[in-house]
Amino acid sequence: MSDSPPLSYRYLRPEDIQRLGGFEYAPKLVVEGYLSGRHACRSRGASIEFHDYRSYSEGDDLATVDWRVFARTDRLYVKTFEQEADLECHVLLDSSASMGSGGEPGKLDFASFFAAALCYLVIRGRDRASLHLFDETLRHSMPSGSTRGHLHSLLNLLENNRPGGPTSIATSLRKLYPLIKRRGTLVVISDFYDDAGEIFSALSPYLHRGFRVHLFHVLTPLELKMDLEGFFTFLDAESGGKLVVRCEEMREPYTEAMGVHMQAMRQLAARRNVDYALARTDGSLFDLFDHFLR
Amino acid sequence: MNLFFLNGSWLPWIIAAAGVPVVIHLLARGRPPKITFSSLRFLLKADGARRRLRKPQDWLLLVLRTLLVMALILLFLRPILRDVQMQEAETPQARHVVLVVDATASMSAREGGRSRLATAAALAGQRLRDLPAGSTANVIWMRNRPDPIFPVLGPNLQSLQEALQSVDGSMETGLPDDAVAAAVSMLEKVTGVKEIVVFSDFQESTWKGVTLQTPGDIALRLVPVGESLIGNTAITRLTAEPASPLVNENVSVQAEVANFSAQPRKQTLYLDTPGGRQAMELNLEPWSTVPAVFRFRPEEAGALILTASLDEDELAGDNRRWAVLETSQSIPVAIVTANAEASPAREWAKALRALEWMDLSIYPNRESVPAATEVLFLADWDGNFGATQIPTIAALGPGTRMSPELRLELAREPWFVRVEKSDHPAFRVFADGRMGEPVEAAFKQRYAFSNGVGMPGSAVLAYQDGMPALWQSAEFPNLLIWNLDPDPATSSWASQPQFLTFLGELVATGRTREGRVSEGVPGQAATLALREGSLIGDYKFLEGEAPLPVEASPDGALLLAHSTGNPGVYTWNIENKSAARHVVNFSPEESDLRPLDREATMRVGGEILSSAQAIATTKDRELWPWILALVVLLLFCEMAAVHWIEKT
Repeated sequence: MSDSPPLSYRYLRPEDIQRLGGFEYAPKLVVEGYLSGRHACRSRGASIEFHDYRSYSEGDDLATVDWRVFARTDRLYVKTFEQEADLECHVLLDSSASMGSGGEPGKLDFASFFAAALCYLVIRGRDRASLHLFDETLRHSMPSGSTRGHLHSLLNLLENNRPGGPTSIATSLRKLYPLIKRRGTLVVISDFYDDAGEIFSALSPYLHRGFRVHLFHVLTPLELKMDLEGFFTFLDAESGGKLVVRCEEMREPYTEAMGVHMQAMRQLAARRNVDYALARTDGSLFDLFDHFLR
Repeated sequence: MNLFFLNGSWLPWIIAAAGVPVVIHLLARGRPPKITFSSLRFLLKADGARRRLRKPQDWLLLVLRTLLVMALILLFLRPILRDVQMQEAETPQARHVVLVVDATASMSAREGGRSRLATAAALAGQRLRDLPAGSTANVIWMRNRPDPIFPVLGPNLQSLQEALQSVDGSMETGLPDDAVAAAVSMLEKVTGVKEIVVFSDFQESTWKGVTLQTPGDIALRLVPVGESLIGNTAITRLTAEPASPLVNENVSVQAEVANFSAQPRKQTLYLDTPGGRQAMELNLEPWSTVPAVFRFRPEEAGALILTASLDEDELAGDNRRWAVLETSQSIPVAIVTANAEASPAREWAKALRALEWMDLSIYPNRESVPAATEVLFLADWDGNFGATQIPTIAALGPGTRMSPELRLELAREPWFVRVEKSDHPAFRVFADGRMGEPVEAAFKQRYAFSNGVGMPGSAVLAYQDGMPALWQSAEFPNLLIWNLDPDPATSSWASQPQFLTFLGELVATGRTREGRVSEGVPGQAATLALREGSLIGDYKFLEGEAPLPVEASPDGALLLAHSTGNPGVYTWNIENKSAARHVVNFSPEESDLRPLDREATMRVGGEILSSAQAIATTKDRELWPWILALVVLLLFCEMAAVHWIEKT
């Protein structure tokens, strides 16, 4: 990519690329892939490296039993192996109406910047990235690719993306699952205005299949702190509903309710070994990479 | 017990008033700015939580404030618990009621922001509202004359209430007996339950000694109006001396100011004359009257209006008083004589011509004397006084025919004259002695009465032997019989300065003018004699510039004007020229606002009711003190609740 003309898209500018030079996309999860690459892959076949022992379960291939360990210990253990393969990173970007609100930058813009940078890093590392836009359902799915041309397509898709209808993350996740052939990393960038239990229920197949899931919770400072004074009429970006409140009175119960939701997300994420991070639109998305790529 | 509202008619106004701040709030409140938010999900959750948290507090405040507003409304409506008394039967019986409302001047006194008359009218109106169906009623205003709203009792209670609501105060005095008698005569024509209710301040000056008698089938109830004793300051007198001065003559204006209160008062009394305003500070002790004397000199002839005034107090009608001075340039005097060169006409004329304020004319006979003459000197009086009212000094002479006959007497020893009636006005100027005696001369000639003057009267001056020198007739008080010979041949008196002075004083103090200023009290008819040959249309009675109704007396001799309710100066115009003035002043007896004491009121007769019990058919219990206590309690609770909510 270094010999090609510099990229300049709305969500990936030359200065962004320059800053991303210090980052490398190296996810922690071991995934399977059939192209030889730099990543470890747990699958039988052309095993390259011994990975680990586990107890024998009825049905396991007897060829994988380590008889020497059995001779020593009189217990049955099977070996597991690693195989490097290409990593797929699936970016699921919330493009519902709620993502259209926020100051400057708006949430969708912020999320799009992050998604663009992430796709760039993945493809730069000769890995494959896919981009899926959703609101109440999957609106647009671009399958995995690792070429520069594919990156251009992703960036174009982001540029032409606009906030849509109401949010249904769980539905979108369920619709996406059959479209993803190989497990990899699933990055969900959303404001998560949906039921936490439903979301994680929809993530269960991914987790069971071995996806590494990252959740980036995009919120504006207003959504976090409700730091307005006086009476305001709040208009729901998705439903159009209205509520007149006095912000000073609402601040404490609102932040408490939002905190409860975020805490629920955090707890469910921790329980399911899902990575969860808060992405404030007034922060730097490069700080997110620090978190994500450590 | 039934619940009623004394001010029930206020309810629509109270509701309207309560709505005003709400409307203002709705119009004035701004619309909050709009902000698009990702999702109301958590806001709704938070709002619900907040509302759940605040709901009990909001409900508590709402309940307290609603109760407070309701209690305030109830307070203004003045609820009463009424225990309706059935007089005779189990079911309310129609009644025939005459309400006598004291509308005299004292009822104009203001108490608690409104006049006592308004209070009485309100109580009377309430009385009408509480009458059972089928009742008839009437209202009589107690004034100078009883003034019923309708000639007879009637069922049109609404009209009576409207008349009560729109009553105006008057400055008139009142006659309680006449008013109650008028009420009795109305009730005698109906059968059934009858009563008279009198609403009055029972002013002592009006009601003292009054005992109201009503037939046995007519109940009499008295409702004293007025919660407290109202102090009052009034001008009770205003006179001028002389009342008919000459231009540039010194006039003494005397006023009296009375303090009808238990507190000392300091007042400034003003006197407005054509020459300007004078002021005098007066210190008034409780229940005292203080005289005040002003002096001024009229500079022009005519009817001059004097106005005395005080600062207005609770009873404003008696803080002003008027007087009218008829001022003239000179006094028209006539001498009737057949021979102007003979005494005493000659000496009279010489002396009177020396006084520039005398307008002297000499006539050969009485018939040619003009009507405007104010003093008449008759030389050679024939003994007939005639019907004239002009002050006449009639000199005895040969032509005088009196019984017994006169005879001219010559003195062996000179006669001297002494003053017999020292209080006669003509001698006032001689009182301090500086002018000497009025007659300090010897007389050698006089007329003698052989056996008294022959007419009732008394000597003003007399010779030392008792012979009358100047005799005032008792039968004709304007007649002075002159028995003083001023002829220089027989007396030196005419050459003395006292002669001129005495003659001038005799004229000045004895003159009378055809009455052109009359006085009366508010409501009392003004009268004027109708001149022969005049039409009633030639006359106008004016209050300022406004003409008032005038009617002729039954005998056609007098004009009557009844519209004299307001104190002030009225004018009679004849053929568009001012002919006479009528001064109406507040009756001083209305100024003392002290009421009868309880015992004296009881002696008036009838049953005495308090203002709260004025509605005679019922016994009411006022609930406002309890409601007021409730309002105060709710206020404290609301404040405590707000404080507690803010703390939590």
